[in-house]
Amino acid sequence: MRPLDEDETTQVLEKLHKFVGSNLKHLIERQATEGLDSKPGGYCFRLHKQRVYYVSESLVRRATNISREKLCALGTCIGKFTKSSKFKLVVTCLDLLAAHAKYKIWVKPSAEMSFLYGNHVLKSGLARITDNTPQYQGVVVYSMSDIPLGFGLAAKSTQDCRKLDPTDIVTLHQSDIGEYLRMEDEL
Amino acid sequence: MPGRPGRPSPAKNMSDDGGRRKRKQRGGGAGTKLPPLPPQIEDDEIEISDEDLEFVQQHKDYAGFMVNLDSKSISRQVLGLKPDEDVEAYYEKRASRGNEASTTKPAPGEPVEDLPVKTLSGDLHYRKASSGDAVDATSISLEDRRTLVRKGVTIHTDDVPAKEATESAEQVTEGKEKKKSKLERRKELKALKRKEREEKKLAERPERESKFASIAEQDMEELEEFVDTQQRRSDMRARMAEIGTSLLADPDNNLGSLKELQEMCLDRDESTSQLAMLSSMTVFKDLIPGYRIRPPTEKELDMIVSKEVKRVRDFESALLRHYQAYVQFLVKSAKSKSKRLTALRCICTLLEAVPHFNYRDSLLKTIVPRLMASDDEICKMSANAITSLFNNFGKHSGEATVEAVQLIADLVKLRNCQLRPEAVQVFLALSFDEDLVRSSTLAAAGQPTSKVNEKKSKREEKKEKKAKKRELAAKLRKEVKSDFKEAAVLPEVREYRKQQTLTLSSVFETYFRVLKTSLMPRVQRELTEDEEKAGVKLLGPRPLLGASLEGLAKYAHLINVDFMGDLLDVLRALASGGKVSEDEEFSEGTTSVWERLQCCIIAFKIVKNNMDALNIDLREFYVRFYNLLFEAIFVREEEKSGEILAQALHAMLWDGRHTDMQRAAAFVKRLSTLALHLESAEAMAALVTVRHLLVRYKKCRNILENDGGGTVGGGISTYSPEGDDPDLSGALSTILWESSLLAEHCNPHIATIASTILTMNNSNSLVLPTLTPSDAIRDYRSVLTRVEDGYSKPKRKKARRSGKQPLSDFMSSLQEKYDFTETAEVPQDLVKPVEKFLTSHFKVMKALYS
Repeated sequence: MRPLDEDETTQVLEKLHKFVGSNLKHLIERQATEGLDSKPGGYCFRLHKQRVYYVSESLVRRATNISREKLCALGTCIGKFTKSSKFKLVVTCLDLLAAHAKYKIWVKPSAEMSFLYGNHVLKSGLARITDNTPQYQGVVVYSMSDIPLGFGLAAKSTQDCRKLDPTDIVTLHQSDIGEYLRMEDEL
Repeated sequence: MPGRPGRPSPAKNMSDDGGRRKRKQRGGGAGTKLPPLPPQIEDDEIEISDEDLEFVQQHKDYAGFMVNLDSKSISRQVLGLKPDEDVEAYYEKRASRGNEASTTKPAPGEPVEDLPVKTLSGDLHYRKASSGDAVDATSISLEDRRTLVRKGVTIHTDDVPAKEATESAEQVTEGKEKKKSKLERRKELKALKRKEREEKKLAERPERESKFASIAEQDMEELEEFVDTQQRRSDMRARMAEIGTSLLADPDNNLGSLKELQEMCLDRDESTSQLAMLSSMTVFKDLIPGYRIRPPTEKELDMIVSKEVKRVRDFESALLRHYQAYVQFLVKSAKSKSKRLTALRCICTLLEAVPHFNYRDSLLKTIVPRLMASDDEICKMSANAITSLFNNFGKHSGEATVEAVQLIADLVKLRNCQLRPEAVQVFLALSFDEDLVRSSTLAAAGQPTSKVNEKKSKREEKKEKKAKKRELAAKLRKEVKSDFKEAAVLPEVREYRKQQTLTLSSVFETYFRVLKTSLMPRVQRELTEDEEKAGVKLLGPRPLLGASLEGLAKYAHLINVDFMGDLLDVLRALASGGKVSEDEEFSEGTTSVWERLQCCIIAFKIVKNNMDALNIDLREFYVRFYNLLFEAIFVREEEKSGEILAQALHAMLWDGRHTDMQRAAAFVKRLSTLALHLESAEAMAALVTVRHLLVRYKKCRNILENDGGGTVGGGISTYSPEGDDPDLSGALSTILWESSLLAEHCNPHIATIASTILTMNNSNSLVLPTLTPSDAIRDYRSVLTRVEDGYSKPKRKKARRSGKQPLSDFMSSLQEKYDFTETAEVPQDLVKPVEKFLTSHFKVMKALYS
């Protein structure tokens, strides 16, 4: 477990910025509520076994008591570095993203399952989209009952979405909560 | 009989009587009905062909009975002679009668002296019969006409006897002429007509001139006689009245006196000329026909037309000439200082009354720039005229609307949106037929898109023939269609649609231009003298924005989806206070709170109307609205502010099909916070909305009983009351303590609704009265401001007073004691005890809920 170096930090923050935009500030400056400390600390990023965790500072302090080999995980895993040292967000960060997301799309109940099996969201499945979404913006995908289902990239801007065919892709799939079942071992 | 070989001509002696005899037999009737006689032909004229002879020879045996026929009695019977008359005598008589007729026939070209005479008044007279008295009558009428007009008697009545006389004379002429051959008569008539026309022309000109000359002379004399201007004025007024009456009584003949009226308009005396302007306006209003006069083309002029048509044509052209002169005069005098108001009033009235008539465009061109006049009266007048033009588009079949709208659009463009708001406000009177748009789309969808491919078959020739036939039929149909189109009085739907499109595009162009210029940084520029005169400085930085927003809200459903993106961008920028970007800020003229609120409303309306295209979540507008709510408390400029707030609440939170739970909670929290600060009516609106949101979003009811903090807030554990973004406010992790406080509100209705909100979680069945924010504002504004009435409840609401609370007790006791209204100044000695009480009250509340 160690803090991220500069290169890694930029990679992580850039990735997060794609989804939460200017809310990234809130995400980093957020005050922690867990723990018994009278003075609640903030949150920070930690790298452990090629995975990046979003952890409260008090938890980090306590985690130092455990040796590196024995420590499985701590806080919330938000992503991992691949072998070629590229950063990838994983589905466990969904809660964090959903709370701060700037751009959202909602899928129709009929298209929910398809997305949860790892498919892209088509125009026919699109129920609602945030106004003024640019192309290739990171978006959080919600069900109609406002449950976050996953996240991805907007394949088209909101304006272009109007003219799309029902079979065209609106959102490129990146991760969804179906992965908790499908990729249980990897997580 | 000749030339009819099949018919037996039975008599051997070949006399005419023989044929008649045979017929008589065939008829069989015993003299009851006379058979028609064959044409009278002399015996020696009949030729007998060989065939006939042969026929008779062949059937000789059958003709035997002919010999025995009683020819005498038969011919007597046929000719209808009395029994004692002889047939021979009859024939003699008939022959002599024929000779008489031939001798009385007139020789061609003889009867020149029968020609009727044309008088100056254009009536025909028969010289021989009654020329003397008829001519006398007309000449008298001519002589007297002028004086009669003076007396206010119409000429029409005077002309009647003369006309009758001439008419009877004409009848006589016709009777005499009947026997002339057709060709001759036609020739004569033509010549007559030509002659008439020439005479008429010659006669009319000097007459009119002499008339005016004499009137002018008389006027001059009058002037000399009555130095007193008052006298002159009243005289002129009387003259105007005379002219007016005579014109209305018989417009055909008195059209010339319009010129006199126009000369009066040019009078040196202001009041006289103004009066003349007004009276000629009234006269024109009544004279102008219900159609637009089209000057005849050269081809039409060349054609020979009937007298009737000619008369109408002359009248029309004369009227048009006079009207043109009048309109030109009006346009000119609209620029002068003294006559401006009257001239403009005339123009406005004419526009309202006869918008279909010629020269409408010049009237419009004069009136539209007056929309930016500094004078309130003129501005209002022209606005009213244009509004009525828009309202009565049936009068001019929509053409004037298009013209006016385009002129206004040009004006706005020219003045760079520095105009009075009236210029754009008139657009609100426009009405667009939505069915038209819909039907057009339907029709377009219904049209067959694919063409049937014609196959080549063996019977090519036949097909060609068929095609030719079809072509012919199509041609015919086309002709019929075009004829029908000409005949149809109402313009076609397509025409209407075209007009509507033109109007709409101009209107939206104007609106968008206003929005765009409102966004642009204002360049400080020196006001020219002209602009200062027009009162530009008084207008403020964005004079047209309010009116444009209002219009956009009204016509939001007609905006093309293609414009939606750009429009939303502009609105977004305006809603954020006219800032294009974060770092750029204008010191002067950021948009007001209400304008920004309206931007939000419009955005929602537009999106709502285009819901079927794409359901869009207007997140940024929610953010703006969330922030504006705070500002809205402090700005209470106008009466309408409450309505705008209610509208916004309704559009954004009430109608919105789907909102985030987080966002809903944030709005619930903020609205109830606001309700503590707002006036009763607005507070009511806010609370009604809160209740509505809580009913719709069940999860939000967590906010009613929260044990403090926790992760229900989706990761945001603390509520930030001043936060900018409703999604990040963390409202779900706080508690709605405001409703408890509001349950103690001095207004029983608000207290009631606050307590229902509080108990929402416990009660299972929620039967809600349907009270929208707008209703709340309307109902409670009137009722609730009257504190002294003890908050009489509005009609529809059943308010049930919850158990007497100490605060409301205290307040009611205060009301009884001092009888103050909310706006009145509170007496100083009151402040202390109230302060004391409220402090203690809030302490208790804090202890209760923290």
